Amino acid sequence: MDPLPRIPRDPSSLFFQADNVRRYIIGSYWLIIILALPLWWSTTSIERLSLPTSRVISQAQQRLSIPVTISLQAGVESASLAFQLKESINERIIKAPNRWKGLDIQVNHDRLLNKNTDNGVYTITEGTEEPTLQDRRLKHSLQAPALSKLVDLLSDLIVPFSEQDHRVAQFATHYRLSFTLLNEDAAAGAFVNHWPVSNAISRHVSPILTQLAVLHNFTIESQVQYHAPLAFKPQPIGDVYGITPEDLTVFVNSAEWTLSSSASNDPVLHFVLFVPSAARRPLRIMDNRGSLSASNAFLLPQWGGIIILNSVDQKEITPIELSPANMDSIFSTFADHLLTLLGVPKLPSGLKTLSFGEHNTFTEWQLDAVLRFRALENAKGAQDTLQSIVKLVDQIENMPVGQDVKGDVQEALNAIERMYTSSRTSLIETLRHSARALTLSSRAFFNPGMLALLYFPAEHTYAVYTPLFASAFIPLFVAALKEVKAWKKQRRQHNDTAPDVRRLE
Amino acid sequence: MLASWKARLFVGLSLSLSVVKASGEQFDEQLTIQSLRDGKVASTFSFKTLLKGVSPRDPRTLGAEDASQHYNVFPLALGQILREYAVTELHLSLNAGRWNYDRWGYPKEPAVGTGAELWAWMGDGGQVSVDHRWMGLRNALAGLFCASLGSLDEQRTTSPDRSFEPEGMLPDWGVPHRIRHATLPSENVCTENLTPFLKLLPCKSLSGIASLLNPHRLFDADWHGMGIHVLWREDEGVEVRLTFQSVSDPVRSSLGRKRDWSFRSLFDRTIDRQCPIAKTSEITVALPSEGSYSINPEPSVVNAGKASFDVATIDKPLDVALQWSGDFQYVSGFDKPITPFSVQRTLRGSSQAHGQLSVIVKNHQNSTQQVVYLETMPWLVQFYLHTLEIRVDGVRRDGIFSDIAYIPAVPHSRPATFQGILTLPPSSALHLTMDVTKSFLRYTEHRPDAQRGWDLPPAVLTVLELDSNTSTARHPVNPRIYTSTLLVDMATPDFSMPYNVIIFTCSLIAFIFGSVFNLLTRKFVVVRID
Amino acid sequence: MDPPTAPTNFWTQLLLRPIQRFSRNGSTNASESRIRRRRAVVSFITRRLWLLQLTLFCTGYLWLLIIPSPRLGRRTYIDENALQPGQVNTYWNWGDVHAADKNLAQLEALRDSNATSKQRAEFIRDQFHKLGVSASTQNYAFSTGNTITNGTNVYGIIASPRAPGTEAMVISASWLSRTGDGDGTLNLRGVSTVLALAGFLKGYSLWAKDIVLVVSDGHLDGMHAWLAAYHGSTQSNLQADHLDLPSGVIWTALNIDYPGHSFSHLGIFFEGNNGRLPNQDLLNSFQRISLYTGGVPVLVYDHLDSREHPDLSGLPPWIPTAVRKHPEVQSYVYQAKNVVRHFSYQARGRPSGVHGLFHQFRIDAITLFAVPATGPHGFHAIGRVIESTLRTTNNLLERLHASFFFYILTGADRFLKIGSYLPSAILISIAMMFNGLRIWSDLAWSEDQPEIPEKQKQTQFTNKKTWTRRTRPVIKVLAIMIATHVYGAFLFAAVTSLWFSDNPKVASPLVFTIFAFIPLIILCALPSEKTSRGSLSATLKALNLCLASTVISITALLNFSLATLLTILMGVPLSISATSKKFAVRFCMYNVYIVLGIGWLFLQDETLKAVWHWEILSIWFAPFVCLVYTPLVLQAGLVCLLPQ
Repeated sequence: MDPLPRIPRDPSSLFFQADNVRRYIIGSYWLIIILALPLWWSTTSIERLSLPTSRVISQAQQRLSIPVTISLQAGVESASLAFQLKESINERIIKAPNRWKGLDIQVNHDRLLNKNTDNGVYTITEGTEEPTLQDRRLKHSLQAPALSKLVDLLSDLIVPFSEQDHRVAQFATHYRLSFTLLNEDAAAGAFVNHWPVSNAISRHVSPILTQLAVLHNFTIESQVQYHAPLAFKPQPIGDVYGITPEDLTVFVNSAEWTLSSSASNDPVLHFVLFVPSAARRPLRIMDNRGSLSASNAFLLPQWGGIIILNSVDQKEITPIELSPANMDSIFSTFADHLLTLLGVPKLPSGLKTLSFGEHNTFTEWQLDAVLRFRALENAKGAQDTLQSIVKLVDQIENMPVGQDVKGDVQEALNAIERMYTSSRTSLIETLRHSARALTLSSRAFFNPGMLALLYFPAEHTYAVYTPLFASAFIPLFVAALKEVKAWKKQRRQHNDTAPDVRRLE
Repeated sequence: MLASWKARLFVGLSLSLSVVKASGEQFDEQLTIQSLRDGKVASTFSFKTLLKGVSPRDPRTLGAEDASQHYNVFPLALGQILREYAVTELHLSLNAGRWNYDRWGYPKEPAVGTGAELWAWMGDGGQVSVDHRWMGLRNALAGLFCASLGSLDEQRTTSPDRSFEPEGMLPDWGVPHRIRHATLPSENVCTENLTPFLKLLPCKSLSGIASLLNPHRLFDADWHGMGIHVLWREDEGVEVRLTFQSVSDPVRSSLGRKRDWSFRSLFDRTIDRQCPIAKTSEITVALPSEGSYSINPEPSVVNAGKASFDVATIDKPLDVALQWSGDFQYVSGFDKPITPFSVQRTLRGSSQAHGQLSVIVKNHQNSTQQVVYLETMPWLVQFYLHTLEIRVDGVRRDGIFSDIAYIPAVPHSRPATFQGILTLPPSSALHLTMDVTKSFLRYTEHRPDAQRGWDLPPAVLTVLELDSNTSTARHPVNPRIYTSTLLVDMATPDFSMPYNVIIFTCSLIAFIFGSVFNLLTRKFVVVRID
Repeated sequence: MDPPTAPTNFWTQLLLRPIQRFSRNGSTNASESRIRRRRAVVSFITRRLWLLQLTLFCTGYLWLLIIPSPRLGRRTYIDENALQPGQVNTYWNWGDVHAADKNLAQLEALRDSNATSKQRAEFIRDQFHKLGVSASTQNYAFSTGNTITNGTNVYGIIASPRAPGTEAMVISASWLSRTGDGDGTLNLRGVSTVLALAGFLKGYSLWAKDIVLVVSDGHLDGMHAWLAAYHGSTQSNLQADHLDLPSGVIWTALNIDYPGHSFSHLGIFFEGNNGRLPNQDLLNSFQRISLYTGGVPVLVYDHLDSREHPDLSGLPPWIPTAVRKHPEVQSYVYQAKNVVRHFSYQARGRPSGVHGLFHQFRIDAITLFAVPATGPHGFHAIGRVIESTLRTTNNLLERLHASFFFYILTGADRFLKIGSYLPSAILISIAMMFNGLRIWSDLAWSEDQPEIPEKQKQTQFTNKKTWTRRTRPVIKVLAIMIATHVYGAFLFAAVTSLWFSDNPKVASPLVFTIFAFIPLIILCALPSEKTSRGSLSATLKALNLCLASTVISITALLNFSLATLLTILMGVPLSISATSKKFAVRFCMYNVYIVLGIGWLFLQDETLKAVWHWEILSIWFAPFVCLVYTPLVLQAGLVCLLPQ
């Protein structure tokens, strides 16, 4: 039973009540918080690297221009002729600027032209009445009256596409060509179960591919299917069955036909040989007027080509095997389809082509036209994609931008620059760079990492943090504030007591 | 010009009719139907495509451009995948339901584990690693079969080379072959998986035996499963076997409690046309051993208690029907096991933290047997190996469990592989128990859907042939036995009100912090009152 | 401001730690005034503490009283959307009823030939086999004391088509009905319903979960053995076979109890071991299905609604009819009956039927009790109701988790949320806590002139402090309290001993007398020192009250009925325990408390039952009473007994 002490001992004599101890404590709290801040920041912030926006925009300004040199070899008056030719071509350009976009046409007439440039020069020489084409050389009559015809011909050769051809497939460095033999209903009899596809391909398709190797590389595959029902009913007309144009639009029954491949993401060009059921032969295509059209093949833009094969309508079950002869005719059509889909232009009519190597199926002129067209297309595509990436990123606040995206964008920009530099010297180089730019930019655009945190907005973060931080920080702040106040007050007192001391002495 | 080639075409065709080329591909289809003891009917479809003289792709050529593929019968969609990832042997099975070994015996196709199971042998080497190809393979198959095989990720992938030996051959490239195996028991199989499966068949489901595959009836069966098996044999070539098994219950559907069945009653379809591609197309019905019955139409061949029908020759529409004279009575002891083994695997304990894995293997033969016991357990459940205890007929025994290979699980990343050889004394019951702990999930690891628990893959028992003189185990002879899957309860937070939880916790922390902080920084002074 | 009284002095001392961070020599008057203010408030409260306690006690007990009132509860509702009760049309028809009748005839024949449980089980298993349901039996034996209860369960499993069989629903029937807690009434119709259902349910392919049909032997023991084997839980005094047929995780279970030959209502029994309750969604959906699909009205337990049967209202006749006929009063009476029944089950932690054994394994289960009557319902109705209920539980995608696990069912379609009944007990425990704390704090002080009466003290001792601090004999008191709990342990040992269970008639009075006198003897033995005058008893009371209040408030959440029982038995008595100068008074009061504490020994069969439940079903009631309740009351008794 100890009595309550009259004077309890002064708490401030306790060591842990000393001011500086308390200040150390408060200070250490704040120190830890401040030290922790960067960690917290780095763990909670989204990785958002800066994109080379200025470069993208500046590149978007300048346009690719590919030089096309025409040299006129017409003896003495070639200078004047060249001048006239240039003039009339300029008229065309003014008339249809879109068609000639991205090209700068030079017409020169010097006799000694350098053959050894990859970016070949087209030479025009005086020739007979009939215009003839030999690899880069055009024979044409250079009389004044024929000049306009010459210009027409040139423009058809150099810029064959009057407007963007919607049948041409999207550019890709790698295509899958899938040849499919579809029997509508094998069980109905008289179906085709074997086609010597490989040598037909080597005969008709491979030459094209080898010539186009500078643009794309290809994987070829083929299959046979025995039940490929149509999504519609062909209507009988007499003893034939007709497909109306609106039926043609739904001809490909992708629900039932397994044509597409799931193995890779490369674009696929389909070439379908369709054998109608024995019950529905012959199957013919009708035109808009409802009359049977002569052709039995048609082309689906950017998808592929289809041939309907009405074999002899015999009813017995024995399966048919297509002979090389049939394959030739079929695959020559497929080859045409392939050229169209890959954007190889047709030669203008009334133009005689001298033998240009039996492997080649089209001329240098056509190849160059494709190269130019693709290069320009890719350049534009790449630039647009880059721009939209930049726009998207600065529109959406918390869209992460990883190192890979940034790298891709920069690589794409470099590729574009290289494309510009090489555009003077080599057309093929230009195309290669443009293709690289396109692929890189689209890879950056579709990078899955950019969608990562879109659905966890900042409000949620605050909603989670506030209950903790608000209630934990208030005492911290108050304590610090009071302590600082007390400290100041102490200092002031100390200052104004000091003089008195001096006076006392 | 199109007009012109048509003229040539007729000529060409008439020529070609005389020519008959030997195709490098062959397609055979078969259907086996068997009445089971408990009145159910097991039907097994098997469609085999053989690609003669072709060998799988060497992984070392993966960098280079692949040779172009030309198929007549072989499914191109599958061929592409196989070559893209250089897969030597592939087995994919999607099953719904639990195969009752005791009642139904061994299945025709061994892969009957519940859910999805995928395993592949791939040559190691080349610039693309096996695991990378494995990932690509499962994603491609997921796309092909509309199944969620993409989630067979590293958290479920193991390499149990002992229990899953290649069924074909492995080409000798001078590089080793590796196996990858993963199961997804919670995958449930239905029509959207069957449709792509049918598209791989040359005759789809429009003619031949495949025309019996009618989803509406198949998915009403008691058990059904489909499988894709790709393997290679040196002398033959690459073989693709697509299988579909189902166990349907005519007793249930027939109110008269009769076990009669016919194509109509089982599949609600008949075979109207034969598949013109099929080299052989055969239907085999296992004739019941007892009871008086009638089967029609008249089978082409009957031998060894099997009636077989050749779809090509028999007149169509074909509707095989088997009828018994009397009503069906369950024989006493109809569920006595007819397999030499019966396995029972359960996860005991109702707590969410611990449990006990209990496996009972009964050996019904009167000779010692050896089985390889394999657990490929996700990290959700982790074993306490030291608590492993084996009792034979209730008596504790050692030396029963040998050759134990154990790869422990790594939480949140890798499953455990637990493998060993069990020696079963003649006609005895072996009881293996092991304590397990159920791991605690991060909140992002809980699935968004209803929390019914987590499915655990089945254990696999492989029976080993026993060498007579030395009791050492040889390679497997009998089919694998899949135990039933398990459902495990994890500790699950109440996701209905996360913010309440957050706020409660935060306030508690803040309270503790505040009081500690105050005590540390409070200043005491004595104040004198009166 | 008014002067502080003795106890407030201590409170203010506690507050001699102002949060004052300004300079130490600086003006303390700000904080000083703050302290004064606080003192004033505190003394105001402390001097009226008795009032606070009183109000708390009154509100608490009143609240308990109005729990059954129809105004407090609310209507039940279905929370889990997946359940969709009663949305299916049922296929159970008269053919199945006929099958059930046939089974019943065979079972009756079996009963008349008084077959052993093994024969019964084998017969039922063969019935299952005839239906194509794989079935098996399980032998078990409990050994309690020197009696051995053994029997044979039989169970069948309908494997669900196309499902992995990882989930299951249970339909069970025990051989003995729950009427009179398994006093021998047979549940033949329940069993035959299960058999008929086996044949019926097998004919449909719509089951997403396995259906496990269990016919358990005995009343509770059989099912307990089966569940233990199913979940692999071991128990020292239980030998049970392994189960040959595995199935998945059980989510829900329905237990059928159909003793009479036809019924008028279906009664829900839902209390489980240790007062655990199933999720309310199960009850609610069953209630709706039974009413709308089966057309059978539902009761809680077997209480016929006194509003429909006025003769049943247990009101004494001397109450004026105006009051008796008043609808509010009637519904109060009816609901009070339900609540009391509920408390009687939950407080003792007893399962109100076989279903109760499932709850410990996180399985939601109820018993459907067919209230015996002369009609109108029979197999047809019960079959349809069960079928529809199964379809409902079959819809479940996850365990029942929505809705409530804490509730009081005042009627078949009315219930109380936890929020509306829990405060009653909590308030009382708070009151006790205040009481204890106050005594505790008062003990810290003693005034110098104890002979001056209380009244004048307040007036005189205002300015000069004559209060001296004194120590509280905490260690001693704690020793005493621990001793009482040890004493409880001995009591428990005595009660669970073989000897007690063999001859309770002799044992119970003997034990009573022994345990009544032990404390007296010990106390006489102890030397009582004069220094701490009365403080020992008072300290004991303080701590006793605090402990009791803690126990009550904790129990309230786990098992509300038990907490209520404690508040009734301990709330007031423990608060009024006090010592006095005369030994006679002290002794009498001590005896009162002893009777309160261990008087239950004289309810022999009740005691024996509790012990049985502890040994077989491991229900905590018996140990709780011996180890917690009795010691607490005994402490109060000692408070009186100890000298002042």
